[in-house]
Amino acid sequence: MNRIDRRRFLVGSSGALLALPMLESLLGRRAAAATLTPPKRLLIVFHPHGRLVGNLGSDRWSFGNATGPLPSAATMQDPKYALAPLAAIRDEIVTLDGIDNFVRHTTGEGDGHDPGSRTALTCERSLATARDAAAALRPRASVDYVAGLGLVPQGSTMQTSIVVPASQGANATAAVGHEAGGGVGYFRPHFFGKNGTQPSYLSTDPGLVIDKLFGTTAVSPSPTPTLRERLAKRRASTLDEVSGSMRALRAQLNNADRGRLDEHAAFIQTLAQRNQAPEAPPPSSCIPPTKSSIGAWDHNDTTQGKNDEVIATAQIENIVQAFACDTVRVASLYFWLFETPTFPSMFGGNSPFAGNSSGQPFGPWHAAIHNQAADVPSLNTASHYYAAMFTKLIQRLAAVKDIDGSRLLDNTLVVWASDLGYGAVHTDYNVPVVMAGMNADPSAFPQGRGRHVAPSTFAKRRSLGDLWAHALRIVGASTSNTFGETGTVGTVAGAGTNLNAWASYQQQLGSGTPLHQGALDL
Amino acid sequence: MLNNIVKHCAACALLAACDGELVAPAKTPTMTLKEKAAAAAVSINQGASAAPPKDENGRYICDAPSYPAQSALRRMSKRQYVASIQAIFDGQITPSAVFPDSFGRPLTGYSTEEQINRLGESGAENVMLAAEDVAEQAAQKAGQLTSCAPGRACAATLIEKYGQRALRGYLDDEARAALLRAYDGMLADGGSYTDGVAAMFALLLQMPRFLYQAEARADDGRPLNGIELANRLAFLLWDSGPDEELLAHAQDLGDPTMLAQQAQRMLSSPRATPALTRFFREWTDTLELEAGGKDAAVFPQFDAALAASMNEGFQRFVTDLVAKGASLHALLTSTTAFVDPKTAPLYGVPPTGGWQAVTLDGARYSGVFTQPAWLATQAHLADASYVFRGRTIRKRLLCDVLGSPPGDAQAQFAAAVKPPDPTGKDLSHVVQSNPTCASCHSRIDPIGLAFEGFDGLGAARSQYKGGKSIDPSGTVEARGGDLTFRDQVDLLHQLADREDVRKCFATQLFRFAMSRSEQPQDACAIQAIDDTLVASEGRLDAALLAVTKTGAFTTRRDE
Repeated sequence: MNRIDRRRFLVGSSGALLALPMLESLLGRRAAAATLTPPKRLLIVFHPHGRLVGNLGSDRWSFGNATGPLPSAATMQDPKYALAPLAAIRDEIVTLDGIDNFVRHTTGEGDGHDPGSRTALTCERSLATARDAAAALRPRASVDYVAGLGLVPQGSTMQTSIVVPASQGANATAAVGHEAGGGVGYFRPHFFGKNGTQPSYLSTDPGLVIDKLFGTTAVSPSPTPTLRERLAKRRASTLDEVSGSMRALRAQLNNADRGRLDEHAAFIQTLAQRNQAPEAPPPSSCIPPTKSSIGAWDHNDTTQGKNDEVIATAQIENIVQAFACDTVRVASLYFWLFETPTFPSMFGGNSPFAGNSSGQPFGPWHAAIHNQAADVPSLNTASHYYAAMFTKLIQRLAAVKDIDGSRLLDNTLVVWASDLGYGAVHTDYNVPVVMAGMNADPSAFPQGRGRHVAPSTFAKRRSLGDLWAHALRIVGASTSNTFGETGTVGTVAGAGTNLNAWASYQQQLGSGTPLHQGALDL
Repeated sequence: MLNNIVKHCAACALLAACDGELVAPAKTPTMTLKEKAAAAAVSINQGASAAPPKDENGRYICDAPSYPAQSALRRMSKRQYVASIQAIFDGQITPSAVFPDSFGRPLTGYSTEEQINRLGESGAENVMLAAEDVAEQAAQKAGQLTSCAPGRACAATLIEKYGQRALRGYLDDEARAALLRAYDGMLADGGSYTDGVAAMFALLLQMPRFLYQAEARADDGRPLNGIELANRLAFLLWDSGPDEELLAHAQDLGDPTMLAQQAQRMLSSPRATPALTRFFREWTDTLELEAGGKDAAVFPQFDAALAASMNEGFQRFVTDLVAKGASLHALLTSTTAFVDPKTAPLYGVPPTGGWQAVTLDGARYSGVFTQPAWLATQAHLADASYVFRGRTIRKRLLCDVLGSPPGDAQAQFAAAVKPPDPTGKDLSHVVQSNPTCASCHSRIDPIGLAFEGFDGLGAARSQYKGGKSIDPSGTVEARGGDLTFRDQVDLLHQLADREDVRKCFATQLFRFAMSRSEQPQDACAIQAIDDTLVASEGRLDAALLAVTKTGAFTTRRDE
């Protein structure tokens, strides 16, 4: 066992608490702690449905339409802005306009929801054109996993990336999507692990996430290990035997099946490594959260987002401390669209989105999103929720010290994005993006923070591929100028693919639009 | 109509009976089972990836052998894992909740597809944790799992029994040795016999022969060997591995008679319930309902108990039909339902003391698509959804391919001018006034609107909440001409008689059985299933068993 933080990740996974010795818990640390060089980290914040209010010219999401400094904090606080809560972190952020999901248009699908969800974080086109077929064909890994491959040192046993739900509800980490809309089971995946496999979703219960990320470091070692603990100690040799049986089976298979088995075998090898030699102690900045620090929430009623501020706050703390403890280097805070959210932290008991959803397919929230004229101020207030949680996250990253005494935020790039551009019509252009962090690296945002970046002309709009490639370069996870598909919309779409989705897109971009144009002007 | 098809297709029924895909040499009563199997094996020629030719009647000519499309190594799904653990340990062990589920939306609608069951980083980890969960339980119940005195010899006994079950006929000396090494290693670490047993099971349940349906490469084609065939049969009919009897007959499964005997036995077993239920659920896109899946303000009665009863009612309905040799026609038209005190109010029948078969009003109820579980799945949180219902019948019962709505469909719908207190037909009319929307909704909506007599929970209703009456009649485009119907019952009766519905059902069974989409070279297999449906007057059990006779099921090709 070479990393107790990783081992704790494993032993807590079943939800059962396993008391491993405290001494061991302090052994599994990275070389970074010894050298006092903070690692670089990436944190993706993801909320569903893009800009909830306003589109392009009538945009309430952006504080301005041109590149330049953000307005004063006092101005930003005007509740007419969807991002008003960001006023508190004005000098830490860069807001971006004109980031489009070009790859989504290569799928030929009409409705942007499904293709948007598959491509926003992967920038990979699915191969089929039919809606269902395309939904089933998974892209390659999403940007968080790719970042993990670059940021987790070779030979390390750290989880490549983790996805931490910030919302309650059955849909948050549901694994299988059904066709039936609404209700339990309707799910569009956004995050993808290696080769499009299921990512490492953690629990929607922040207490279980504590178990998983930090184990039982506060618990004294048991004098008599349980059977489960004794099994855990033999994992390396058990996994060795599993690998052996895989090799035996592999010899009998065709090449394609060997590839499938090899994919699994590689994960087994990583698992086995995690269960071997110990590493260095954790950084002094590591203060694992306790379950008692989680606010009160009703475990029996997770409907309509009733507990979401408590859950999101606790999960933010889990991520921040996981970074401080160097348990993970890439994480995503995943707000998911539950059935009928009411945003109680914003509206108290008077949410306009509460109550009977009769006559409103998918509920009052969904109806309001798609009928913007009905209640723009309320939708704007709902947007404030996400901005408030983002603000809280940045403030916590700024408050917690890294191993060299700097702020965690100084060594962490935070990118907030979404699956759509303008949610009301499921478009995939002008995806809302806010960035922050990496203050320790002057080249990360050479023009500084507290700025808004917007394309000077329509043709200068940029792709999510450019955004993610740029982000990967900032954190040193990649040197590539591209991420995902390359070429133009037309070359990726191929002959005969329906590009009708472009018809509603100002008629200015088309199949010749390049998927990458180099670094962003940050 | 079905009878006419049966008469017309008497010849194809005969073909179906002998499959028509594998051309075996003449079989004589003097041939042994192994000789018959070997004879079948040598008759297979080089595989072709194209569809077979058709005759003048449009039927595929299947007298030349062909091989199926490739069959991929597949990790067992979570449902298959649950069924497997229950079977391996005779129900004494609780399957682990952390075993990885599938991920993504299946291409065919069936959850055993290879692509959605690949393991990711956390999935591999969860397999390990799930194995340990079960190993702990198994160790604690070691005394119940075997009667021998604790010790190494007893561990070896456990390996023989449970290793053979878990590895499904692939327990070889190498696996035995590895499992014993796990036992010995734990004891060498100071562990007890129980610990050693736990270590052994922790390894066993991570072995690839447990996790994967794996078949040896076949290059340009070969019949499956006995163990491979036993595994395919078991996963098709039981969603889990073979039992001792099937493994004992594995080497004789190349003989069609033995294969048919075993398949029939397995289909009649209670172990077939999970697979049968899954097929009908996934084919009709009927979710396992859970509490919280409906708007509590509209359906306060929808709780975990009602959800469970609706699920069980669906299961009882479909498995009963298969068990009594009912037909596809009955599946779509039956007025029988299984009702308990929770679901009785949904059907508007008097409460019962327990589960009971009742005969429903034939003017309202008609088979699986009037089951509350299906109606509630194909609905919104608070309302019925004629779009979901129509779409699902179009896609799953008629095998239609539908496009996706435009990106701004919801916004267009929200902005459209609607009459006050609109009915479903009013809303559909608004949508179809846009020609782009009409291109799909004209095919979807009339079918779904026929089911407006059921609310979002699947309970009967005679009018909309505002008091307007429901008109379930309609006309919809279908292959061979428009389909005009009075209501959902009339619609389902007409659909039950249609040839395209029957052929679609054969295709759906194929997709379920093979966990993949059909390829051109699978045409004969699907035709054979369809022929069996015709010959058997649509019997569901016969169609299921027909799958096992197809070349797609009994052979393998890799190139």
